[in-house]
Amino acid sequence: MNLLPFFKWCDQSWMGEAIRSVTWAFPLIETIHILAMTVLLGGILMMDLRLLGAAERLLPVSKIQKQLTRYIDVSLVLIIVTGVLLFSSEAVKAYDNAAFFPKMYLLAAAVIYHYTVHRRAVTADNPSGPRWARPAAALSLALWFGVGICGRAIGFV
Amino acid sequence: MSILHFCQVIQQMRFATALRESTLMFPILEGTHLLGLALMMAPVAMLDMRLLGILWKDEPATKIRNQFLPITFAGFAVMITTGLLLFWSEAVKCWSSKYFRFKLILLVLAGLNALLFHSTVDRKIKLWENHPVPPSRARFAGAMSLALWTLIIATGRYTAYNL
Repeated sequence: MNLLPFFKWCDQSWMGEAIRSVTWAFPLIETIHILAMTVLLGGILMMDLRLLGAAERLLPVSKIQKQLTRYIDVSLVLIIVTGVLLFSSEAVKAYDNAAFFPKMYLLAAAVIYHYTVHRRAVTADNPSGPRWARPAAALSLALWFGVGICGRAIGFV
Repeated sequence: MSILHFCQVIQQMRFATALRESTLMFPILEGTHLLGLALMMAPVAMLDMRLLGILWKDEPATKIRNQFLPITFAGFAVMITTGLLLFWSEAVKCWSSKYFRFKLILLVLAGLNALLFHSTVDRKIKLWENHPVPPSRARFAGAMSLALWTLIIATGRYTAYNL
């Protein structure tokens, strides 16, 4: 399926035009994107470090999940919204960028994984998670940091 | 020797030049600095949110501190190491940016905030650790910490732009 026409359309949208024409728009949206990333990745990291046994065992992982879940959800929505805005301002450049599609695939996988398998692991009765806590956490971190790495790579490839 | 001159001198050193002109090392360094944000910020934010009485209200503040603060050391280590190397390789560009210079001031303020908190309110933490909403000095420290670090992240990003 050829997505190039769709990417060209995004590029030419009023949103893309608006962001490109206002000098301070892109840096501001990008900064919000990064702040959202800090909350998203940070929150998930707090749970995954606990599951990996790399953090102190004072708090059960389900408690960490309960306190942070809303912040993670909101930051995920925010990061996707800002991501779409950033994308619309340089859609065709993204199409040609070697890191863009891998980032999208990893993002899809990370989100699906987060709300299915990972959710089961972090809401377990056992304070340190289920028996499969460690590989579950490792995969979570690999997926999310993979998205982050590809995101940074977009600027370099 | 002016600071600008100092920046020129250090960035011309062989290692700094190699880093700056590298294909892979510099991107890896910068990427680590960016992703390390999560490792550094999240545990700090956990304690700040407890100090503000927004999260973890039913847990003693000391427990939250002991659960999350150890992680911050690893986070700070990553950020300081990558940060220093990044600065060394592009010292002139960084120093020439008003956002970067503001970031340095903010970093000092964040450090002072932590120092102030640890040497005053934190000493008496046993008195209020079970209060869902801690005393105003602790709340102030938490709010300042979150505000300063958010600004530090923003100014860090803006360093790359010549606005």
